Amino acid sequence: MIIARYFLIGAVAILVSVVAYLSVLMSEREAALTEASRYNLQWSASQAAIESLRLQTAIHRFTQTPDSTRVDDIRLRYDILVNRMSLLSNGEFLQTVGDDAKSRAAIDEAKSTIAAIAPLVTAAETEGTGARILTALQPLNAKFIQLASQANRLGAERVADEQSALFRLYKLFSALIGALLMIGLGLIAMLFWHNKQLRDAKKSLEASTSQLRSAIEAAETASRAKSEFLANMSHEIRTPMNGVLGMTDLLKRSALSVRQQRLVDTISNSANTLLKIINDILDISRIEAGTTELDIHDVDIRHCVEGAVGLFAEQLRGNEVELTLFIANEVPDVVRSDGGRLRQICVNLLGNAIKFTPRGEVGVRISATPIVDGESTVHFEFRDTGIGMTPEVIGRIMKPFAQGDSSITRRFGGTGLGLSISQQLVAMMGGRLTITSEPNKGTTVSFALPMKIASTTKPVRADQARLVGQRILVVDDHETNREIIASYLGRAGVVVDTAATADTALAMLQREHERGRSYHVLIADLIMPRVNGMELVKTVRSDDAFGDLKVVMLTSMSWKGDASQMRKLGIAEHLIKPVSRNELLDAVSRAVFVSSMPEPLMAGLHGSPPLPHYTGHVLLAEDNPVNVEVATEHLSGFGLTFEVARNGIEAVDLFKRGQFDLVLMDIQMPELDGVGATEQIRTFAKENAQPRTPIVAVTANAYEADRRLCLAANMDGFLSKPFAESAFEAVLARWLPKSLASKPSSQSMRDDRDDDLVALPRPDIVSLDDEVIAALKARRPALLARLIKVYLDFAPSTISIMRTAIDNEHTESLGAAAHSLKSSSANIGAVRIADFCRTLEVMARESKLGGSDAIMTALEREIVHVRDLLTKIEVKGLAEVRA
Amino acid sequence: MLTRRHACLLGSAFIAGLNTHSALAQAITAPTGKVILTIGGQVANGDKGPVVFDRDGLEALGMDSFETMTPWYASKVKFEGVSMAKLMRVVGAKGQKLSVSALNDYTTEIPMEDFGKYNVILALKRDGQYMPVSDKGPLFIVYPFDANPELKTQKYYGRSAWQVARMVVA
Repeated sequence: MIIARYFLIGAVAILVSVVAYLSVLMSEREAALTEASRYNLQWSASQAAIESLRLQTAIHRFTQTPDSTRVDDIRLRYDILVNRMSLLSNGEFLQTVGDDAKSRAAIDEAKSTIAAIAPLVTAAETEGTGARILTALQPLNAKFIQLASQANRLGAERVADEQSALFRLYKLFSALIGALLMIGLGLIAMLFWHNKQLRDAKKSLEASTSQLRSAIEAAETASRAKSEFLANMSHEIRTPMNGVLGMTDLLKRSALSVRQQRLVDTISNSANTLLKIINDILDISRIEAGTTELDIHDVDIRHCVEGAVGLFAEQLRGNEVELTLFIANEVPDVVRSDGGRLRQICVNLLGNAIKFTPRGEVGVRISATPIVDGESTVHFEFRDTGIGMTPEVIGRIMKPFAQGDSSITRRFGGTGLGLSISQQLVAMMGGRLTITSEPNKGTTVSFALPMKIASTTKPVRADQARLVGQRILVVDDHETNREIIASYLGRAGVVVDTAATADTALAMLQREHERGRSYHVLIADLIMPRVNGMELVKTVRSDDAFGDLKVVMLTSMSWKGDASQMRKLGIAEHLIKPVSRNELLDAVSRAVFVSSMPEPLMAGLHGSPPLPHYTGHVLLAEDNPVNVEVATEHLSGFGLTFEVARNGIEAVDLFKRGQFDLVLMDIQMPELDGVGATEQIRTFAKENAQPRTPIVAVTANAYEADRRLCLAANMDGFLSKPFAESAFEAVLARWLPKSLASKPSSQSMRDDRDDDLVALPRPDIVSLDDEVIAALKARRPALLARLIKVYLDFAPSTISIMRTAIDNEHTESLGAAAHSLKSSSANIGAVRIADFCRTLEVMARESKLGGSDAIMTALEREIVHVRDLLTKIEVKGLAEVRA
Repeated sequence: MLTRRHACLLGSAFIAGLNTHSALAQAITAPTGKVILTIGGQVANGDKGPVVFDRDGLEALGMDSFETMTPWYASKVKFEGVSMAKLMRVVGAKGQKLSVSALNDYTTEIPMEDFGKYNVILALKRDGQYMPVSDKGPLFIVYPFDANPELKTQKYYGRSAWQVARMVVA
């Protein structure tokens, strides 16, 4: 390149100097030519000769015929000759003639001769003058010829000189053109060279680009491979996890000593934690691989967030942390969003907040902008008063696989993926996660998501609508809670006052009573400094003035309720914080519209509830033996019969031969996979005009894309492995009818010890005695409705007590509870339940609990049936009362 | 330097002149003195033969003048005479070229358009004096060389005839 530059500079310099030199030469030549053009020597000389001869001719003519015209002609010719002579003798001509003495002499002689004959010409008419002029002119002829030839010679020399000068110029021109040509060629060569270099550079660029591209492809392939590996790993890990979780669930239900129960719980917790970690790792890799898809559907935000928050209420038991949830009234009920992901974000963020907050408050606050064009921006905020962090730490934790510092990982555990996942999910949903934090002060994580309002809306429930105008006093030392509860109640049209202490509350109750506008309901927090909720209620109840005041108690999970004390104090309802709007309004409605509880309602639930039974024959297509075992245990647990196919082909064969109510189809199977088997089954059913049998996919690939694939393959549902018992039951509940009679299954672990047929229910007894109902109704319809309501609130908790008693072989409490339920069931006409209770009461009294489990199971199933029947009557009854 | 627009104006003036040539031709005073210029060929006089001028007749047409360097004099000289364009108008010349002959029978041809483009004059006087035959008189066609440097070539020097006696419009 430098060479090229020097070449260019050199070429330009040469050109400029050559052109300058040429222009000098040209101007010289131009001057020479111009000068030459001024005078033509030969022409002048010969013209002089001719004019001289013409004068002589004119004289001759006059001599022959003398007349005046011819005299004039002589004078004209003479004048012309003089004119000629003056041209010949002017400086330039002489200069041209140069040093030629002969020519100068000739000119001088001619000039003087012509000047000399001037008097003769004037006197031309005079006789003999013509001859004298002729004589005088005679020698001039030779002189003029001499001059002409001299001029001719000089002219030729000059032409020759000029020609050679021109030749020199031409040569120079040629040289210049040659030089130009060379320079041009040089430039062209340079251009070619340069072009070649450019081409080479382009080629090498292309080469490196294609190298880069293949490197990118390789990287992408590697990334895909990693993704696929993770997906496979997920499947491989999920299968044994399914075994661990499923078996643990089943093991929990078997007869275990307290110590064994604790060990099993630990296994279960560990397995669930492991599953969560695996899910997190998979989630983040899926999100980063861009394969995560949102599943947008109608989402009840309140339900979604309350569910997430509810998960932690239990966890906070015994912690010094106040968990509050406030969902502003303007937040739309139902929006279009991915509920699962939203819940996942909430769980992650809330989990972090609680994890890093040893004491203080963790608050979830959800608000929304007004709805514009069917869209609202919903703002989520998770605020804690925990350990907080510095800005540097915030920057670090936003990256996957990072926690505040490695010591935090040791102290708090966890993969640290929750925040990354949440951040990415929020971004996918169109928001941005922001974190503000201060060490030792706390952290606030917030994000806002634009959400379309779903077309389906939730109407305000009738019983909640009836709260309008009620006067309620809320007493809670916690300001956020007061605010939340006041806001929820205010929206329902309730007139709300708040008090921060029990003393203030008492004063307000007193004051309003004296003013004749007593409060209808007191909502009191149980745990308050100085005077707690229970003491406040005691004080209130000691005053007859507040006999009608309904009381709702706010408690936390950690509180072990004392049912008898609550009953004694006339506490209508108790709510576990954080309260949701619906729970609050429901509790208040019940407190206002249902009279005080005649039966104990407070009871902690201990042990797992029994499984309801379903009716049906299930085809289970599953190749993995562990999964088969887990699934079959579940199926028998739910009282179902089944057949197992080990691959898709077997599944199709079995289906063709048998009569199935439900097919559980593993997607990944040898020989023929779940999708293929489903196709064949559907085709077979169509050809044989069979009704459609529900086919539910069961797979470890628990992702949206897989779900869509299954639904696209004409399947009816989707169950991801490892499945929780509840998810399994949800599938059964959707596709199979609940069985009315318990079918003891030999494969059920739980039923191992109750082969006693005495325990079986008597099929001849109906669930509900119509006569009793009719009698009640005849007496007073409103009373019937209230009785039903009270019974339905009371019965389940009593049944729970009975179940716990059986599990713990506590005959005394079983007897008491069975007796209590027996009489209230008989009162309402639930004769079959009364019958079961009677049997159990006897068993308890005799301390012979063999078979009690089966009866209890039947009882639990029966109460579901009775509840349905009674609810129908209640609704009908209420309608009639109102009418 | 004449712009195209000027050339056009001069051209139209020339055409206007042609249209009124008879009137102008009548304005020519009949020569009383010695005839020094004869203009023949395509002139308005037509059948009546060539138009002739004595010195007064030419001077009566009005005199133009300019100073210029020429190849024939060492210094700048002043020429006075009749504008060739006007002269052609006056005689009602209808042709493309003018053949000019001198007393010594030197003949040259001048395209008519020269008179539209340049202020060519038929000079009678040099530096205030009538020019005698012995010094390029009596009539000398002179181009304004200094005003139009492009005229300084052999072509226009050749057209600058002296001792002019006759003209033929063709």
